[in-house]
Amino acid sequence: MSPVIRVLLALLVLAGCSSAPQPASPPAPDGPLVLELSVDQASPQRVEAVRGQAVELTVTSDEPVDVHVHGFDVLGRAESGTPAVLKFTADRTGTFDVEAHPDTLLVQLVVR
Amino acid sequence: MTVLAHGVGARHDLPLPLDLVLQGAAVALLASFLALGLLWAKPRFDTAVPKPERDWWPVRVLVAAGLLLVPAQAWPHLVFVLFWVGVAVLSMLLGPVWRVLNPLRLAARVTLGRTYPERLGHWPAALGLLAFTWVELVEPDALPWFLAAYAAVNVAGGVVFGHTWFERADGFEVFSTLLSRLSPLHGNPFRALVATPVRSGLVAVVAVLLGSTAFDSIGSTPTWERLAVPDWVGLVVTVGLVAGSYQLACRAFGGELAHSLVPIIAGYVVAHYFSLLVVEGQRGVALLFGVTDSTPDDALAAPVLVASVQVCAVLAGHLLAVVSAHDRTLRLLPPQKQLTGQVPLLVLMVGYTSGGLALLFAG
Repeated sequence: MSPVIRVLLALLVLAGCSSAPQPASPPAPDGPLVLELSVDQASPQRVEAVRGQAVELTVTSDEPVDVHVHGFDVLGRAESGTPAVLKFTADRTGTFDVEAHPDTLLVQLVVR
Repeated sequence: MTVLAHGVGARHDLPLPLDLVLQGAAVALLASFLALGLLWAKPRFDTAVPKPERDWWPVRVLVAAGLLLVPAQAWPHLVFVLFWVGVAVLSMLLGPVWRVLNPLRLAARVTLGRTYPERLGHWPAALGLLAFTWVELVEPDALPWFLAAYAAVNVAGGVVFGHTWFERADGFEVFSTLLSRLSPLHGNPFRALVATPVRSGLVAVVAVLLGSTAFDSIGSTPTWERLAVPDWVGLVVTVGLVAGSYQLACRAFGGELAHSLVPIIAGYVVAHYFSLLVVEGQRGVALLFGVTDSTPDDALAAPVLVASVQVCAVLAGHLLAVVSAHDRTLRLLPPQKQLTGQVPLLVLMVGYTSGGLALLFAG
């Protein structure tokens, strides 16, 4: 292997791999993450949560619809006048879709 | 089980931290132009000579028999995880596994032996891969139809044109064979890359592979949802952008440099699908054995591990691509143009790599 390649490889390893994020554990949040969502005026965003945090979603809809939190498999049903209330603990890290079925994205939870 | 954009899985990776993305892009840029100045000035990678190969028909008969036993609910995981991602990763490590395993290749044993038309090149493969990625990313429910059509077309192609059909027109075999050139088990990967035959449609195959993976990231963002553009439009536009940018940067070379993008595809495939393979792969194996209520272990998808794999894979792919392209352009360009002639391709590669990292941040 030529010295040049060695230098390049070393550069890569140094810059790419050693700077991976530290497993920083953010302080445990005091309160739950509370979100009010609407199926009829869905405007999906990313919302950050901390692993272990309680999450409370209230979803309103004019039409009867099933609401699903992917990855946690929490289900609810919203109808006109009766919002769906979903409560769960975000105990896995990752990015998870909250959807009104079949495919209306309501919010994306980023759990770190 | 619920169906997501991939057809399988319920979890996306965490976005890469922004500082990691910026550092990665800076390293790619720096390494590229360092390479331009410091790497050798005379081409050193000769074309690897393809070895004659065994006929693997008993393995294919076994695979065909095994497929008859797959439970119906296991098919999405089998196809989207174990096959699409698993075969890609195995090809990078071991060699062209799909050409060994593909049961449809049995059709070539009863061939009429017609000559495969040269001008078709890899175009049927590019179309087949585009159709598959459309099923994967836009319409997972169409999977049974796709599989039936794929089997029918390839049995017909194999009967008419024999083995050549699979080498050139079967998208999955073309994909697997391209990635297999990186396998360390078959000699110097750079020599294997240079040996990639340049056929019409090769650039299209590369564009579909890179563009579809990129669109998978784009399409899963809330921003894309808010735009309310149909997913198939996004897929086609992304593939078109990759193809167009390559044609623009490499118009002097045609498809002669397409093989040097293979490491970038490989790096991005690993980065994009690593967690899907290690988590949903477990569920896929369980489903094959008829276990429907398994809970995969998340440990291999720990945020630090995933982020490290992603950044290392993308940067390693970029570096291999730069070295491979450098060596090839030395052969293609007249001496006085060797330095300047490489710049558009380098800029393109830095663009793809930074774009890939940015998508891991945004998507």
